[in-house]
Amino acid sequence: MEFLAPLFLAGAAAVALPIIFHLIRKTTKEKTIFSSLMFLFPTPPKVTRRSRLDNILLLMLRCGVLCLLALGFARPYLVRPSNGNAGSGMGKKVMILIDTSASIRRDNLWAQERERVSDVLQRLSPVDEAALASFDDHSAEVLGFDEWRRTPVQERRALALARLETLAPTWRGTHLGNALLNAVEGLVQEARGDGSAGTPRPTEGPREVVVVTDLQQGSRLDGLQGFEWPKGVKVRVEQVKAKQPSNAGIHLLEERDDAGPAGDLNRRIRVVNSSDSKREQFKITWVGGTNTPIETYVPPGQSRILQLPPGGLNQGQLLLSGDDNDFDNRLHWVGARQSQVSIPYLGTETEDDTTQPLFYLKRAFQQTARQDVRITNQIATNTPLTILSGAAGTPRPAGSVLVVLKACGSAVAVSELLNLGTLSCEEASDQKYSLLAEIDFTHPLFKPFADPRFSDFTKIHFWKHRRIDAQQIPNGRVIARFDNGDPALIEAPLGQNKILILTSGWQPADSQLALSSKFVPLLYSLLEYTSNERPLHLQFEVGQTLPQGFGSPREAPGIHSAGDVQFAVNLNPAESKTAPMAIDELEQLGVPIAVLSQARGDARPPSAQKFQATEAENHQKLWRWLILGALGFLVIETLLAGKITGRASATSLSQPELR
Amino acid sequence: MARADVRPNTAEGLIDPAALMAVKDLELRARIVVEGFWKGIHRSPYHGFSVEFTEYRPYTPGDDPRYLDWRLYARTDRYYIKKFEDETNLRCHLLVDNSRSMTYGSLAWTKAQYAHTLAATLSYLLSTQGDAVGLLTFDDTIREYLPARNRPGHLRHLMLMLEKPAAGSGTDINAALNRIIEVVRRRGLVVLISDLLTSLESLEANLTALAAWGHELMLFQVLDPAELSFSFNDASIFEDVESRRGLYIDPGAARREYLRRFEAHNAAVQTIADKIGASYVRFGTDRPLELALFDFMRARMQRTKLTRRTGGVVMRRE
Repeated sequence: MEFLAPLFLAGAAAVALPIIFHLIRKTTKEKTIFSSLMFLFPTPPKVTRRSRLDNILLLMLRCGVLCLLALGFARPYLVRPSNGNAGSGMGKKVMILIDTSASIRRDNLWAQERERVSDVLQRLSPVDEAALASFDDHSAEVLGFDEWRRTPVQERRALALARLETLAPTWRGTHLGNALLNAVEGLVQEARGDGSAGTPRPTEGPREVVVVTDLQQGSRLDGLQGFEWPKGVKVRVEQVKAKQPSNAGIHLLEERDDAGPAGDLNRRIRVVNSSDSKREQFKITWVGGTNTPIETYVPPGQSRILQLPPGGLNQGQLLLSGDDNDFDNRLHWVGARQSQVSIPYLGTETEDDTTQPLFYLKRAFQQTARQDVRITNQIATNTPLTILSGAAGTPRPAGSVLVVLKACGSAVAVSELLNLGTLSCEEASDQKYSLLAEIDFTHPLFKPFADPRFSDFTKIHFWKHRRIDAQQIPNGRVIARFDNGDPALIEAPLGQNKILILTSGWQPADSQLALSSKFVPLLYSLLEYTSNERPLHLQFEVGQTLPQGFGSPREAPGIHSAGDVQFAVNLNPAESKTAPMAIDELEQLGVPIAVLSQARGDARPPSAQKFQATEAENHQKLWRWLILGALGFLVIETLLAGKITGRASATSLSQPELR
Repeated sequence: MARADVRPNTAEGLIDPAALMAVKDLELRARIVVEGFWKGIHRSPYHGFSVEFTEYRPYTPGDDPRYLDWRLYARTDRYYIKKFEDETNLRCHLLVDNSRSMTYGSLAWTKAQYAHTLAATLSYLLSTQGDAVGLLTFDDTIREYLPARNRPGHLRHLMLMLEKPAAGSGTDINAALNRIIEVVRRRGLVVLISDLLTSLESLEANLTALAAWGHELMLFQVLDPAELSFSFNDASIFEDVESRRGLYIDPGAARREYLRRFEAHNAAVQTIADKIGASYVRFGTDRPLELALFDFMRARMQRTKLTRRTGGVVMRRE
């Protein structure tokens, strides 16, 4: 039993009062006035049997009341037996999670972590079972429960430490949420006895997850929200702290496609300063560059976006200086390469004719940092897409073909390309206008529009369209239909490529498509679909899954190459948020935090201790019973005293005083 | 409060002190005592003018030449001293202890009330005989002083002084005696009424000095019956009336020692009185006052006889 306000226990010293009153009652009660004491000497008070203890029961009751009151005010609480299993004879299961994320490279955090793990292992009793796992953005088992059990008791700690030696901090981010969930899952499986056959039966006892981490703010906690923690599992956080907390990081911002051809605007970086940082002035410079460094001021906890310093380099390494920790101070950068795409438009229109599709098509494709799309009127050999608008007798293009039926005459070109006899085509003019009604949003062409925010095509009126029979086209597939059931866009294979037939035009005479916001995205979607190639992304994070052909995820930052393509791999930006997270955030997510251990040994922070004690005391409310007991004692004491007084007065009445 | 088991002594034909003390007026109380009492003429120790001739005696060197009988010298050519026995007025000074220890009383009255009644009775008795009576009350200092006179209203004044309540925290008899020595130059009677519960260190010296001045001394010690017998039963804290000091006393255990020391103290007083030729009478406050008067008279008569026997004669100046 412990006490929340142990000072009140001093009140129990008041127990001495009734005893003293009891003893001195006979000596102080009566006073006799006398003329002179010159012939008198004090007689030592005679401790007779009467004056010693008259009513032991009464005395004990009064003492009891005082003791109970003092105990009640001291607010006692019982320490929960689950907190400690020493002597219970039942071993606990401890899953030790070791943070090996990039932020652990700071200062001497890794050494601290190893010490903490060693301490935790040291505190385990022989009946306890432990397992080790490391985590960054994914968890990995280092030492399992089965292996622990198989190992002789005296060698277990050494084994665990040896495994610990094989670990080292990685360059990856931190996903604490996943690590915790995996650990709990492992513990739960252990409790079910899923251990391999032949191993000793796992003991039943308390389960604990010990997380040795710097608990940085950049840790991802998603997945913890709403997770129902199994009963009996506690999480203990062994937090390591850097002596020099100042840390700033440098990261590349997402490149902007609308920024023009490889302009300076899309070379932007973000400088992040952690909230516990002590420094605010930083310098950024190209490694090996000759330009003067950029100086920047970033207050703690804030970030600043800067233009990439001028260097004229298409790739390189930026270095941030001015903080205490340099693990996230280097930014590797590879500039995007612009790809040239030419799309032949085979038609008879002039470029400036606003009533014809070509006019709109030329303006739809703008030059971006990654792509330079040009519309030509020549058949190219390496083009992914050719657009036909009517003219028949053209040679078969190399890539996919989009046929725009701006008149039924274009149907001839389709039948030529597909080697069909005839393709029936008629002008559909039975209604004022048509709308796109049935669109296959699962088709790659329309997939970007699948989101309900973008899927509304009803604003686009098609004044005219041509009715062709999709059944006549071999393997033809209708991707979109008009509201009267006529096909609007038909896809069919054309050798190894595809042919797409749009039964209306986008020029204003046929429809509002060219003027709608869907037109440009649709054309880019079409280009991507037919070329089977996305614009190249050259910035990746450590551990990130790379596109096909780039190989396996890279584990270290730097400029890597895959074939003739070079790409940059950098740290996860969240790793730069190195300020420690409040433990409350974990508790708010429902994590059953047992004890927050901040210093070495088992010294808990006083606030956490006090909080836990207050919680326990509030929950148990033992003081109520003590006060109730005191009241009960008082009632008995009153009754008893009344009885004794009544008896005494009756006796004195029956014996009148002689004077 | 523990009380002493004391019963007043009443004698046949005498006034019950309880009845007497029930009378509020001090003067009336005194008159009651004196009335019916023997109005004896007592001899003055003072030899003065117009008194009866007793004898002649031859002049010896050292005698005051003022008292020579020049006529006889003229007739006989011898020096003779003429002696008279004078019936002159007595000058009596009552020294009344008014300290707080006198306020103690286990009966219905206190020692102070008894002492005041005694002083009033003596004053009344003496003033009715035409004697001059003076009063000095004291505690740890001199409180009141009234020179000995015999004039109308003086007795009333004296009674009023006696009625003042007791005060003071201690008893200093020596201060009172010194004052009397300083103030009263003519010989007379000095009656000290006190419980004498004080240190006797310099009492003897002062009384001797007083006697050397030719004063006749009477010591009336007034004591409560409880003080005389210490007849308490229950153990308690005994508190001193004067100093307010408290002591835990078990009377059963302390009585023997108390009485021994008390008697030793009284014996010391008796020794002092004997040494200087003073009368010493001890009263319990339960004793009828007439008896006190008898004691007074008896002491006076003895004194007169003694004076006469020892030739208490002085020369008369003519």
